[in-house]
Amino acid sequence: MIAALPPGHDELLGSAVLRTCATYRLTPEDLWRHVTSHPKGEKGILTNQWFTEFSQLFGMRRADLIKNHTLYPVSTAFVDAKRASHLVSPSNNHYRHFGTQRLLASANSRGLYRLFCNQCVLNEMARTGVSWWHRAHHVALFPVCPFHNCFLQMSDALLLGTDLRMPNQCHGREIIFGTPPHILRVMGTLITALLYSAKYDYLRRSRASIPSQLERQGVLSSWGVLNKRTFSLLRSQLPAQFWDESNGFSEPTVDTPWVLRHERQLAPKVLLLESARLILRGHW
Amino acid sequence: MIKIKSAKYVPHPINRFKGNPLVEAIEQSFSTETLQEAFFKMPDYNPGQRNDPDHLRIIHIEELVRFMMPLRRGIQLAQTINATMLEAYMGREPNSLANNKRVADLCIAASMSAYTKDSVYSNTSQFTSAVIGMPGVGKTFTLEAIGALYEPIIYHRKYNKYQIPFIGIEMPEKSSMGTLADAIFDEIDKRFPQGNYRKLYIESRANHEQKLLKAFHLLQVHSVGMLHVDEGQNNKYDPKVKPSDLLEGKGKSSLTKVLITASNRGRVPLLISGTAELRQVHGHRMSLLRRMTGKGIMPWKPLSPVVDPNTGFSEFNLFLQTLWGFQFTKHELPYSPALEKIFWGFTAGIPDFVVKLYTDVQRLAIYREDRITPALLKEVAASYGPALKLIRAIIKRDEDSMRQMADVDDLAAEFDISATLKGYTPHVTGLRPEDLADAEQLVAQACPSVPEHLQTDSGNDDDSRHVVGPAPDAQCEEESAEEQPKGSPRRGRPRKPTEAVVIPGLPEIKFASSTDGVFERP
Repeated sequence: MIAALPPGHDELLGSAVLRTCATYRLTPEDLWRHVTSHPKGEKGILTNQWFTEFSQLFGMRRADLIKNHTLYPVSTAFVDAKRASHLVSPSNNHYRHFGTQRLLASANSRGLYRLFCNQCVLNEMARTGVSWWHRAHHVALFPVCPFHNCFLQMSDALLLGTDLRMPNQCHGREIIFGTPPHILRVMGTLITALLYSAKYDYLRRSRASIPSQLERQGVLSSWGVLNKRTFSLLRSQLPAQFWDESNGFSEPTVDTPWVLRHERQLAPKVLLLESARLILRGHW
Repeated sequence: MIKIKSAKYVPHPINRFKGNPLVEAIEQSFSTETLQEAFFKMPDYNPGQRNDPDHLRIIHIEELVRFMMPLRRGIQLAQTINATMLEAYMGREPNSLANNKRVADLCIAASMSAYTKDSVYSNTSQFTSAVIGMPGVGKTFTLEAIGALYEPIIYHRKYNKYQIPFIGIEMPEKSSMGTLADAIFDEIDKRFPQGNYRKLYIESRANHEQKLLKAFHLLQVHSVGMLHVDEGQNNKYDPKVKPSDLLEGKGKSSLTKVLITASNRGRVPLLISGTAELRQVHGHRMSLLRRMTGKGIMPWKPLSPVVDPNTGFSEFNLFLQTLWGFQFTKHELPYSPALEKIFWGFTAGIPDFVVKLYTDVQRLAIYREDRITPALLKEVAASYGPALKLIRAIIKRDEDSMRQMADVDDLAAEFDISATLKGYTPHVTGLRPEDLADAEQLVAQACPSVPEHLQTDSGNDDDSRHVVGPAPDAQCEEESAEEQPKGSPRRGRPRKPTEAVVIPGLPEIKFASSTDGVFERP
């Protein structure tokens, strides 16, 4: 198998795959076919096995790849450890994923376009000469860069396309100015904590603290669900673009059950994507 | 399968290379002494093998084709290549700003011509050089030996990178971007079969330009330190173009220009080796000629018979004496100056022919009287047919010889024989009589006391120029050779010749070169 540079800091697995395609001047289909030996390339339906194969591509440990370059830590932060490890176990063929598109889209099934933070791009370009798509920028329904506490920009690269462009090569489709509301900044801190907590023990400990912190902020009710009032508050404070259906974001309706069962939350298609919804819905 | 070595970083003594993992992972000992040792490739020989059965001795003789001894030019070339490689590795550190930008440039290029179009890059850096020389002088052999000094592939765990310091390919006969790209893929595949690039790239439906662009991606991905393209003259021109049109600059291939520009832009040093035809290929552009010269790489000529006054040996003398130590015939023929002259006459100092003649004559001797004789040497040399004729022409260099060589592309280029005057009066720009006289004078100045073995017999004072050459009837050499006491000089070591032998009726050979490339004893 070919060898590729390991993904950058906070880089989504899908982004690293696309960068490898560019480095080797391959189409995603060709790369996928080469890495997985699957005759249909990325059109093939693959199982958890590909985590092992991609970790070989990047010369990493499988666990490190999953933990540091997917939204697995956020998605499974509030699931018991046995269940969480089973979800990505190579022997678990029940959960299926659909090609590199899904790899990249893993972060945000609801958006149409990829998101980036201008400040992150500038920093990366100055430091390494390349930029990449971040997983922290693709937590569903969360429009703030947790590193710089600024609004994310919407690029013109389709989330589900096999566009090989990286953020510095894209144009901003929607540019939002202004400072994010306090509540989003708090949540950004929480998301970062979830993404980068080195050990699950920390997460377990923080489980208790996160709800209480959110309660203090008035985001959560004492029952551990998101207040409707808070949601309305969020909506009033966020720029209208984020609730624009055409951009792929949709507002949860009153009929949407706030608390869903774990099994449903972790359904195959949303395995790595719906972390922010978990947080927003106060599912703990 | 090639074993992949994990990188072990040894800090480089030069400050600017410190901290560069690509530099610190490769072999750093390129001192003259180390190279002399590395380039001494002698057969596994012991005198007892001369009593082995015939079939075993034939096998032993085969080992002589790997015979190699260090010459100053080879050592210089190895050190130059190493210096160029290290310089080019500056700014190519994995995941560094400069390197990522360079790869990004390559990624956004739509085609090879688009990538090499930007002339800003082509003039900034100089990573191209050329080794030009006559066929058989050991260019490829030496470059292969230099390539073998480096690890075939080095794994950098931190960057998940497989570094290939040196790769050598051969310019395909029908050279095109596609075939050149195929050669690069194949060569990288040999070192890194896991990549399976042949399947990944060659079998895909890409046009030639795209293929070569992909090949250049791989040179970056694998941090190739030096790309050696052998037989560079193969990229001559469109075969359909007539030679007369070539003089007007038509039909020249632009492949080398593309290679050079891409090499400079990607900081992948390129070393092209080939015959003097290379100069013709690039003669239509000064920009190309400029890059083909310099870096201290002199044109490779046959082994020089000019004696170094410091050591008392010439390149040819030293080479043959060392080679002579590996004799597998039952009856040993000791080395003598007469033999040196015979060998010169049959080989013109071209190492390939020297080794061939020596091995072939031993093979034949084993089936005959089991001894080497001048008559046998002559018989074997005669079997070379047209090749011998050309060797004789190289030695003689008279009008007929020049006309003969004008028909042979690489020799015509080597001696700069004008193609337009072919069949008429040969015009030899590089070897006019006055040049010869100058050269002789230079030689005389360089070594005022003419070494013994190059002098003619004392009774033949009127013919005191340096003359070597084969004897049509070489009985005298045989006798003088036989008279040498057996085993008096040490085998495999240079010995000072004891007597000069006059070989009557030989064409005069004049030395056209000065003391270039004289060997220094290790």
